[in-house]
Amino acid sequence: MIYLLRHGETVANREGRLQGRSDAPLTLNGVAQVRAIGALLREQVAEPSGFSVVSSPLGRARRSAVIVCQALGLDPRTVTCDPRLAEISFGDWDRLTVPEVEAAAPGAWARREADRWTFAAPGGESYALLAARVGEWLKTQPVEARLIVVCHGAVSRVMRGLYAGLPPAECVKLTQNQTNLYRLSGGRIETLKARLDPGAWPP
Amino acid sequence: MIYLLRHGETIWNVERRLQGRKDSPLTLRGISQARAVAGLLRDLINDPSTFTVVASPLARTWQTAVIVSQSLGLDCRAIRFEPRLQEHHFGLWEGLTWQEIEARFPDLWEQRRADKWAFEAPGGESYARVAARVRSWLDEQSADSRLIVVGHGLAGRVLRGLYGSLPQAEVMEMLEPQGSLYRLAEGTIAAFQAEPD
Repeated sequence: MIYLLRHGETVANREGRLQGRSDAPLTLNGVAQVRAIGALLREQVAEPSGFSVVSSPLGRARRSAVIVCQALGLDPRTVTCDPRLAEISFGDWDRLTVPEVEAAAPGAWARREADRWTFAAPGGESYALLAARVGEWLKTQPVEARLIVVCHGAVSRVMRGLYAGLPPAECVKLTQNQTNLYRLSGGRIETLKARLDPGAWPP
Repeated sequence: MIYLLRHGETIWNVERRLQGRKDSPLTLRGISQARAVAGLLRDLINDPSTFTVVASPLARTWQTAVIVSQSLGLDCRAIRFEPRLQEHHFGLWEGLTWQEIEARFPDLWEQRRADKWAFEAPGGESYARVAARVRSWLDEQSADSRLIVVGHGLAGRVLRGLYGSLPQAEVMEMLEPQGSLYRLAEGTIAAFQAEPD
């Protein structure tokens, strides 16, 4: 069983910047999102200590993983990082907004949107390449594993697509909401929605 | 006028590991501390928009600066980064606890005890070098500048020491609390304590 979540909102998300392998701090909204998912996990998981938390090595995922651990009463030192769960690389486009990409390479973003699966930004990765490394990680997880995976938008899409055996064209269009928690279990994917209680923060 | 705070508590702070130029994420307590200091700043400052937030470029100070900026209604994109305010570089010792360092580097440990100000860990820097770069930054600040500085424990002590012309021995004995705020103005240093909510 895998519970899958994306990191909370970052400053770069709010500015509409592609992050890829670059990193940015969580916003206060991002912190609240991850806390809300932590509360949802606490409702879902009877015995958090039976779960391992695995994170992408990127800072925004690790910062989110610490918040999840603390919400569940788990020791943040037990979080493991797996580089195969790092976000898709946008290469030269990391940190840019879409208008900035358009200004640097007219038409390139439209080509990417028309074929996300095979298109790779200069020096970056395609979804197909991403799927290869995420798939390698996924197939080495035992069926009885109990994991909470903290990762990224594109990684989450690909993992769900691979798990459900979706065709590439559908996989690249899956949702990647920052308050959704996905449960991958018994060959099925369930979407759980965290409730962002405006009164819940500050605690 | 400079308001100086340290980043919030991190995982390595809890584990009592030396961070230096390495980094670890803020804990929930660290996030609350940053918010609490922002609350103090709101009480002390009439118009936050007249202040500039300056942060060490390390991730824990950047994250803390974002929390402070957002809490004060300031634009996170206006945060300025100052490498000279980065934490003391501990080289090979980073990631270790003091106990581990003492066990693995007994001779160097003794050397450091004998002269902390001049000592450099392998690949790291000394208090003296930190003081030189912090001094070069401080000297550039004008008397009428209005800054909120998000820095580090050791480099923050050095900054306070330089501002107050304190002896080296005192700088090495100062506290470096999280959730506290120092005001460096008109030649004096005032300390304020936030109660994390």
